[in-house]
Amino acid sequence: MSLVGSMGRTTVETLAALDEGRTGLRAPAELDGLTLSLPFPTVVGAVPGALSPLSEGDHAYDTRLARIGMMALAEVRPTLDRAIARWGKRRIAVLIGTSTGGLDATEDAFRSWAETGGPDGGRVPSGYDLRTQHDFNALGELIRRVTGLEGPTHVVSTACSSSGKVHASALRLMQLGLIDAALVGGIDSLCKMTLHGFRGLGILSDTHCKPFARDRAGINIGEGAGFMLLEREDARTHAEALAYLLGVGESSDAYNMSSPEPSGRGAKEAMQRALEAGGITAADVGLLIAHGTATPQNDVAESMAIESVLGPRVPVISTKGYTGHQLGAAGATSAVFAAHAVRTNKIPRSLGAEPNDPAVRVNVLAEGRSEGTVGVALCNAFAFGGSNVCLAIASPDWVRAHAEVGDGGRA
Amino acid sequence: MRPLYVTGLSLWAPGWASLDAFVSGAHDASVEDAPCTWVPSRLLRGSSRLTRMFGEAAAQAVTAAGRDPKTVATIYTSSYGEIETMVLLLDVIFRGDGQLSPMRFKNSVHNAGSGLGSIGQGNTSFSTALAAGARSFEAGMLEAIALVNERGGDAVVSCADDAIPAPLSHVENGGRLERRDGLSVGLVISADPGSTPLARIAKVTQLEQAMPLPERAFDRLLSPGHHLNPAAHALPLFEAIRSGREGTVALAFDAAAPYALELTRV
Repeated sequence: MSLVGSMGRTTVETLAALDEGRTGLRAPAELDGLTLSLPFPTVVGAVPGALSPLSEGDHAYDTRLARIGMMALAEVRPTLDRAIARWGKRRIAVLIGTSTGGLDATEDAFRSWAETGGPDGGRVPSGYDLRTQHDFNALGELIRRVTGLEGPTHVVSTACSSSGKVHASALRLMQLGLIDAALVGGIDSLCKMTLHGFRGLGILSDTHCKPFARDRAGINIGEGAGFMLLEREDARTHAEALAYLLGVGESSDAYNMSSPEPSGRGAKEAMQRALEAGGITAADVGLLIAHGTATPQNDVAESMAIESVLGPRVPVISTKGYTGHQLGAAGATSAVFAAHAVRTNKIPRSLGAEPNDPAVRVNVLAEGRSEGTVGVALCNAFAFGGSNVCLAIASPDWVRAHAEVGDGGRA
Repeated sequence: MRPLYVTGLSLWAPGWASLDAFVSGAHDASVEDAPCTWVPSRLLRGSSRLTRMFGEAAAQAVTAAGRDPKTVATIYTSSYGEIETMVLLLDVIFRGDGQLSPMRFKNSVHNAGSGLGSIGQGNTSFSTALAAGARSFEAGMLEAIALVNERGGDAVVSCADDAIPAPLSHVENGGRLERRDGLSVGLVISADPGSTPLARIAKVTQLEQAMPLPERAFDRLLSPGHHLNPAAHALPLFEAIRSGREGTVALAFDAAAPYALELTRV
């Protein structure tokens, strides 16, 4: 598994920052290599430093999104190459979540068109290509080119639940017998559209976001990429597993395009289905990594759902105070954080959670914890359109101690 | 895999109000926008024609299958998705005052059709939105088959792309002008064949070689712009199902190692 984001350019850097409680959020003016020119205040979670261009052969696919994705992919390549040797290139799927796709490149192209006359003779730069840069599936196509994979390939783009839902697609395709493994993950990059859009909705915070706090004032936007290699369980993979994906729950609010159902009904259904799919109960859960965006509505509705499914005592954290809301990459990042927590039994503090909101009646950890056993972690991702997903991830030790688990895969 | 059935088909495109109209050659130039009856009109304010095409194709297929729109799983799949809405928003950012309409922004996400469809029908079951370029129909079919194989019930695949708006309409494939015409198709996959199944899916296979898009009777009805639409990759399967043909039918064409369905009589 791998992670790239505002907390670090590698998985080791990112997880070290998480363990130490260091945020990656900064004012946009401090960023290197990215000009957002925002007419309003906020902080963002940007990948630090310059991003390497793609290799010459893949130049047509070059976007900020693709560069971030290739950084994260490089870390999982040795594991992926071993999986290709074992399963074959047609038995491994490429399933990626994104909400922005290559919108950063399209914005640059559109800006050039507008500055050269717009509808009155404006020119889109000759190097811009809609199919290889803007198209959501350009990511999947690029990963296939780079890795040689030939299994099922698609992008899930259900806004902020995208890269949670790819895990469910992988398990289903395994159960159908089409694949033995899947490269799953999520990639999103900063762009003006999302920042202006959330500002227009009135839920973009001027300052650092404060998930679950009484004085929370909305989200920060972040970028990043996360990957996991999921493999079918057998004796060999059982011995090598870093973590287990026990099951995934998905649901639809059927309520409103941008606001959660106020009682958390859809969130609750997704969590319940994750428990059922994983063959576990609330008593098995040692941590919940919440969607926890820091909007007034999300955090209350989500906490009601958590309390209803897991009760008031299970430790709850949001990692948005570290990364910002990575939108299409949020689910994948949470999944890696969950795998890290069950492996190390370290739970980071929920950054920005104080002062506590009395309407949030769950056990949000304002301080980190490193004693005790996590065992199983749930992680939530919710989205525009009322799309909800919850992953159940367990440590290898927990799985060995509980012989009967769901039809999951290992990561 | 468990036996699965195709129980409903649909098509909507400008000029073609239904699959029946399409196969009978009853082109009607007055058909310009999709009615999308399963989403109340108040929810469709600020939506794109693509969103309405998604809903119309899904609704027609589910109605043809006689399934319940309140419980059917919905899988929307498209190459460029809500690009019309995105261009409107970019224009506000780069040529306007930068104040984006909340309604337009909400409707710019790739899963706008998915969200509005579930809200319109009060459907809290599974829904997703996929993209796989020219192979978007194939991706939707694999997701639907895997889903119904996993949990039973019914799933509708709605595959659609609309025309690409200026100024991005001429920047695909190295700047070659390739007009893309709007087209949407729907297909329902069911675990229960019901009384009038259209075909039985015995197996999903992966073919060794890429297959060219075959010349079929439907081709005479399609423009070159329709052929560039990922939804057109569904039509050989539609033809096979409607003619009751058994055997292997690919789900993607001019693509490496495509997936295919083994169809048998019901």
